[in-house]
Amino acid sequence: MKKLLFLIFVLQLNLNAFSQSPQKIIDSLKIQLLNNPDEVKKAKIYGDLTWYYCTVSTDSALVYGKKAMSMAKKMNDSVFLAQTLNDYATVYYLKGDLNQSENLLRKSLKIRNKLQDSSGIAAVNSKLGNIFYRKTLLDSSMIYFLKSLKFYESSGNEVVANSLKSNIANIYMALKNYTKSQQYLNDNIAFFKKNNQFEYLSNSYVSMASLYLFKTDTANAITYLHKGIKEAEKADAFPTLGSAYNNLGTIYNDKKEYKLAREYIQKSIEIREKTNLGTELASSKLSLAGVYNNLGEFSKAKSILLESLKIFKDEAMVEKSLQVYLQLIPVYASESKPDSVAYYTNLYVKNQDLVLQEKALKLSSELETKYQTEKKEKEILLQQTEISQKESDLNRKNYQIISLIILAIVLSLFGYLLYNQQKLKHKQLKKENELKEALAKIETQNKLQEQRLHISRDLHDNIGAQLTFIISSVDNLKYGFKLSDNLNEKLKSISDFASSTIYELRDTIWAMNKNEITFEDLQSRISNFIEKANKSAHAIVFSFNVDEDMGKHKMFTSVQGMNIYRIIQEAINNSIKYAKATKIDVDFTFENAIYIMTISDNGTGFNYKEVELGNGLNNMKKRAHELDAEFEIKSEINKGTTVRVFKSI
Amino acid sequence: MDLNLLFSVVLCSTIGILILLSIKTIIATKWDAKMFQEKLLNLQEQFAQENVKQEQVIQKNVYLENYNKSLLNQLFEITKELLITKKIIFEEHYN
Repeated sequence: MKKLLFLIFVLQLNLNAFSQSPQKIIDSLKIQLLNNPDEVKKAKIYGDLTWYYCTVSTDSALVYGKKAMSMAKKMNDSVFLAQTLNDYATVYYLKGDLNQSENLLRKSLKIRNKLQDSSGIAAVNSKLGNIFYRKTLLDSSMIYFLKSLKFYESSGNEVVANSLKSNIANIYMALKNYTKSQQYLNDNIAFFKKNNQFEYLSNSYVSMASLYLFKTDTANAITYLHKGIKEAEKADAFPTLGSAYNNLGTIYNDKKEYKLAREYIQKSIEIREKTNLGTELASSKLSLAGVYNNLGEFSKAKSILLESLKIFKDEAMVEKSLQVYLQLIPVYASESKPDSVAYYTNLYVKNQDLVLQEKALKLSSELETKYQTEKKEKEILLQQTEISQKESDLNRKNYQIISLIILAIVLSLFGYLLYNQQKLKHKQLKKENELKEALAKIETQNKLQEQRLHISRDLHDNIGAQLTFIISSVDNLKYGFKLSDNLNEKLKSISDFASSTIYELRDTIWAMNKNEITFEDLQSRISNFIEKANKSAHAIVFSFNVDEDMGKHKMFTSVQGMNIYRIIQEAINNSIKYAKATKIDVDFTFENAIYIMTISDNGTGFNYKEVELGNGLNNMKKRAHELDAEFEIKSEINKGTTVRVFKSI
Repeated sequence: MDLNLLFSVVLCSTIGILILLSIKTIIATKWDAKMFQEKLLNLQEQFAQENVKQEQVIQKNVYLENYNKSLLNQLFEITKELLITKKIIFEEHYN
């Protein structure tokens, strides 16, 4: 009996949406239908009518559901078709045709899977869970509820998630795991209370009452049923209210408080008549018939039982029919109709056997399904292992291919680097050889030039020695023999000329033996020359001045040094020979980044324009030109002569 | 040992060795370039020095060429004067 009560209650759990005056909505939808809406709107109205008729008339719901479905197929609108199938399935569920309902839900699920409509899939899973629960396939029911719960929890829809937890609690209850069931229900009650979800709260209270019934704690069961009734009245949750009253009546009937039982069951019948739930109403009437039987009012019980039997037979509810047969036996016994008693007794026994067979069949089919499922799961596992193996092979191959590509790239890079290195080496070697060749060439040329220099030096040494011999021979001749004055003069002149040639030669040798001449060297050479000149010309005052700004360490090439020296020598010799000067100045100055060499005298001078330039002056000019310097000569009669050489840095 | 694993190990090792060799080649190339640059600078310096030397020697030789001409003239002059003196002495002695 408790199980029966509980199942009846569970049937109500998913009908919560029907509580908001469906008749009014149906009327307004029908008015909309009269205004000839377009096809799409019409189809939607049919769909809505199917849904709202569920609570009013399942037959009408079926008619509108069929229309909605045919329009959905015509429109080829997958979303709408899935929804219509869903609604249509609900109608069959309420009618008790669970197989047809499951079939329609599976079709809806297929479409929603294609559409990847997660919320739609969750809704279908929840309904399939209810169907399997009704079919007492608790494992499957649990699976579908958990699938649905997963979605609602992840999407944050806590109300629906808790409602599903109520269903799971009911499964635990059926599996006699009361602790777990109570735990779920307590959580639900706390959540629904907190969120003022009265309708769901009433459901949870009624479920809790069922749990206490299972635990044979009728006092608590009654308390929770009253709580459930209170909350259901607040929310106008008629299906829950009907169920709660019916359960209360049944409990009181068991407690043999028939008047109270009759009162509650009649209330349940009133509510269920309002909601027009045929099978539920029949169940309540069956309970009332039981009370009448207990009260001995068999005639009242008989009419109700026969009425209910018709409905149960129509809906193919065998278990309910069995209960009716059982109730009819005392009724006919009271009427002293043994044949009828025997007839219903036989029917009861026969159908009970059938029910048992059916249960056994269901159990074996469930076991078979479980076996097949496990087998398939194993196959899937095997396939998954194979797939993962293949994936790992594929990954390894990919890795190897990538590695080979990298190897090829690195190899190419290495090849390129080697080629580049060799190319660079070759280029370097070529350049180096070119440079070495040029160097060797220039070295050879230098050697040749140096050989020429060497030959010149040898020649100068010989000439020097010969000139010395000549001077010595001339001097011997002069002092060894008595020669005329004229001849002595001649020999002296030869000896002087040879001496000057030797000095000149020595100066040249000095210069040519050096690669570079410092200004200091040059200065000392010039000083020596001036000293000698002073000895030969006592009357002349010589002065030699060097500016402090002149770099003492300035370097000249030997030719440059020689040219400077020769210019000074030439200028001084000219002054001594031709100018009759009493004073000769030699100055080296450095002004505004220009080196200036000045040789001046206070001699007779000459008119520069009238005098034709001799070898001496031309040589000076030429030497200045070789020095890349400017040459200037200034002279006025009786005002002396100035020779200047300028060289900018 | 699994052949695939062996292949992978060989492949990775080859890549690693080649990368190391590439790095070594890059470093060697850079080092060679640096060394060559230094060598080139030395040679260029040497070449410049030789050029300067050549210039100086050429200058000296040009100078000496001119000087030698002038020296020969002077020697010719001395010889001429000596011969004239000799002639005068002979004339005085035998007359």
